[in-house]
Amino acid sequence: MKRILAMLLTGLWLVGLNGFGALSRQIVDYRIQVKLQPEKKMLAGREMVTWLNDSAVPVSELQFHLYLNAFKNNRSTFMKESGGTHRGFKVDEDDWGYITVTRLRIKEGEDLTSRMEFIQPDDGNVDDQTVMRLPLPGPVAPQERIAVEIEFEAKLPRVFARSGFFDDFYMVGQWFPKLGVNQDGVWNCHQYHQNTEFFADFGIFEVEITVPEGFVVGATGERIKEVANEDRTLTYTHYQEDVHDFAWTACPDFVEFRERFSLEDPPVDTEMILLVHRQHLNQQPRFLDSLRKGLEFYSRSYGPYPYKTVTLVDPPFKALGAGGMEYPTLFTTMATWFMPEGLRMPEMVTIHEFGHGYWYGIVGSNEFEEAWLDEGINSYSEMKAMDEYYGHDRSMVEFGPIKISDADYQRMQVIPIFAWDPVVRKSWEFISGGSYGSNVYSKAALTLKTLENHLGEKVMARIMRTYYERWKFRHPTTADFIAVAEEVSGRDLGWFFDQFLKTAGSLDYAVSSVRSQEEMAPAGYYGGELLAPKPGKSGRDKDREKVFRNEVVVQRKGELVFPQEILVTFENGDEVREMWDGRERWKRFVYERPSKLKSACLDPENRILLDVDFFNNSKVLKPDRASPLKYALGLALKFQEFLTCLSF
Amino acid sequence: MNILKSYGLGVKRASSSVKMILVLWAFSLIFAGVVYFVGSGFFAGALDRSGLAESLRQFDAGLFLEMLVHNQASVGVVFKVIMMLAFLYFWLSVFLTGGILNTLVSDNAAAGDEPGRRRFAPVFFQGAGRYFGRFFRLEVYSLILWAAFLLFQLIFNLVAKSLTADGTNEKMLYYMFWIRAGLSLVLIFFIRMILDYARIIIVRADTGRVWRSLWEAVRFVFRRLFGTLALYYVLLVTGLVIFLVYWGIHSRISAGSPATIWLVFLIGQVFVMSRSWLRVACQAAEIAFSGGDQ
Repeated sequence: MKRILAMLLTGLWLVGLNGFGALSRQIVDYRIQVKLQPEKKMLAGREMVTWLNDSAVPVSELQFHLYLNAFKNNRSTFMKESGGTHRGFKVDEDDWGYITVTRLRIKEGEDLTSRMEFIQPDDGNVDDQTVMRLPLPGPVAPQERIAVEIEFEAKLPRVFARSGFFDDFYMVGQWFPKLGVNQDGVWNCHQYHQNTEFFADFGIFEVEITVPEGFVVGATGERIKEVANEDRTLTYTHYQEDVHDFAWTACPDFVEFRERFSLEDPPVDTEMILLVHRQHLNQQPRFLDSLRKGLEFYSRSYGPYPYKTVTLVDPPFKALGAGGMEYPTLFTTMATWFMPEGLRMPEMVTIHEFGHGYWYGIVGSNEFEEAWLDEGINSYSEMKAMDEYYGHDRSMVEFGPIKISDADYQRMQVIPIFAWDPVVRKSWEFISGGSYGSNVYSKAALTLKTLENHLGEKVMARIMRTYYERWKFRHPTTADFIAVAEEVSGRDLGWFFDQFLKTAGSLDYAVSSVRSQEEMAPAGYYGGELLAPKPGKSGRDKDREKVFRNEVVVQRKGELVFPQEILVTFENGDEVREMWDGRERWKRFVYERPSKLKSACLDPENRILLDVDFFNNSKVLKPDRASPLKYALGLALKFQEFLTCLSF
Repeated sequence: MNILKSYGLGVKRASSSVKMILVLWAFSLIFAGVVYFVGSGFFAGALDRSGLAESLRQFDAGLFLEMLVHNQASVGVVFKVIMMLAFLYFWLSVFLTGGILNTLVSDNAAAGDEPGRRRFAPVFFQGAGRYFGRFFRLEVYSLILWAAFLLFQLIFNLVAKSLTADGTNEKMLYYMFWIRAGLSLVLIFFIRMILDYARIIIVRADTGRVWRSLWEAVRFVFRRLFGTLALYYVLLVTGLVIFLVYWGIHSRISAGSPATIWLVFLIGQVFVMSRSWLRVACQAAEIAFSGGDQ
């Protein structure tokens, strides 16, 4: 009886916690009505947001993100840090963007508009208005909810960084007053920086979007209602639970494609909605195919895709600043009308951005503070998916003999720059956008791939699945990921993560030298007796079996340490494998054998993808002359061919 | 003289000008030799005694790019050397053009189109030396034609921009790019053809009036637009056919061993020689065409 009672109480507690069928702890509940005014490039909105104080302490203020104010003027923190450019796209100074809260009050209560104030928790830049603080008339007690009504208007910038418009294309992301995350009574609500993305609590979103007739609309979640209004506008209502953001897009030039995606194991049934710009219809099969692959790979690798829809948005060419961005159940991809099949950019971007539905969308880590948890883990997942579907040596580029894999691409990003910053760092504290990208995406992805090679693919798969299962619809940190990795692998991995995530050094091991010398016959005094070598060239004894002293010196050139396997080969075909813990600056291996040494190779299977120089990982006794000859003669010939063009 | 007859004569003259072709080829080989030594030093240094050198016998784009990334400073030096050599070769080519034209025109004058009556080297190098200054000036004066070319680019850009400003027709962006590339090539060939005829006029008349020769060439080309263009493009097509044959052979050989690497290089040298042959054929055909017309 007690057991039944306990189960009942636990059940009731869970119901109270999440509500029936809820996947997340629903901290927020947004009900928004928004109207697009295309002629002014503006939005007029009303928002009712209900927030649950899930902490153990009373909370006396709310903090909201007003992300669009990053584009308000040239002195916002985003604009100062970026200089008005983002991923190569430049701000249009004729089309700034902003959001203004025109009215704010407690639901059916006191007007709090005059209490609002802008704060700058990260850098104190008084010109930055991307975070708003709202002192409340009274504290919100633990487990109590508060509802706030907000009226706002927003001007969209000409798109160069995720959100905005171009012509009649609108990508409306980070567009409404959005609550920060309250953690143990303290608000985590950062400003919008050049390198930062987003962080919010899970909850419910019901949004009514009104647009003029003729616009094709896509949005987070399921469309539950569609109403034609008298003023030649349409209102689409979208609803989604267990997400932490809501984005939408509208454009009359979208062509909508809908197709169901189903899997039996694990059970998945979702609707793929593709909004392909009319100019890119030739790319639609590539989008659809890669989205299918993404759904299949992530569902099988981590867990079944839990939502009823996924929407792919293909921005037009001149709005590519909106491309390659993730939102819950909706993402933007990136393609151009002319895109050769061998250049797998649309596939890579589609799989990557869909993958964020898992690493960001479902596992809601803090993108401001630990961006690697979404970008790095997702780049690792993308790398594996691309390898699986397109070939591990050609997953990114395949033009005849030119083949480049996703791992090659990630290494190219990492080699020149990653020693400036550690992977785990607040996103706005990286020395540059390049360092942020190299570390958070590429170095983190290669770190996980190296860990996979170290622990084994099966163990790593269990780690990723366990991490997903344990932290879905929650806010994990780096420590949580490490804890799962250690628990599942049964190993202490502190040494690994401390170095590769928290230290800004480089990993570089090299074969410093290889030598092989024939041993001389004994000569000189041995036990008081003078031994003279038999006559012969260089004192060698022709009758004696030749013995060579073979020496290999390996070296740790970088600051970081990783155990090394060394493969030593001899001219007679013998092989010796050595293990070195890699801690000392160098180590010498000596072999006295009847055969000359041929080569020595560290990490012979190239499993340590973080090693910044694969070329110094091996050394041969006799250098290969053919490769330099091939490339030098090839270069000379290409030059001659060029000269013939100059002179004809 | 009609186009096909000029073309045939040009081919015939080039085929009998073995020494001249060898000289042109030898100069390009000397320049390529410098690039080879620079490149050889670079690749030997970059690959050192790495075991990956053997893997790179078969091209691996990922590894190759990684090698370049690790040696960015050296790549920069090699690139600068190559650019400098190309610049020098351009002026050497201007010098050699004097030799080619002097030899071809002298042969015409001396023996009624029968080559080889005078010793090759003195005629060739005297001509190269004699006309270098004039051809140098011609290159300077030709800047006005290149300025017109740039003006065309500018106007084309403005038109393209106005047609694609609203971004609603993305295809148009690509079409514009390809059309511009095609038209640019046509214009480059056209200007170079005018300069060919200007040089021929200078050598044939042995005149120092370079500016006047340039405008005479412009007038000639526009007066005989179809003929000059047709002849030039027949020669270009010949070059394209030679290139396709070369590429067909070249791409079928997997150069992994020293023997095959040298074989590919030797086939390449045959191609370079054939391009030198085509250069002589082009000049000879243009001489014939312009002579027949005057």
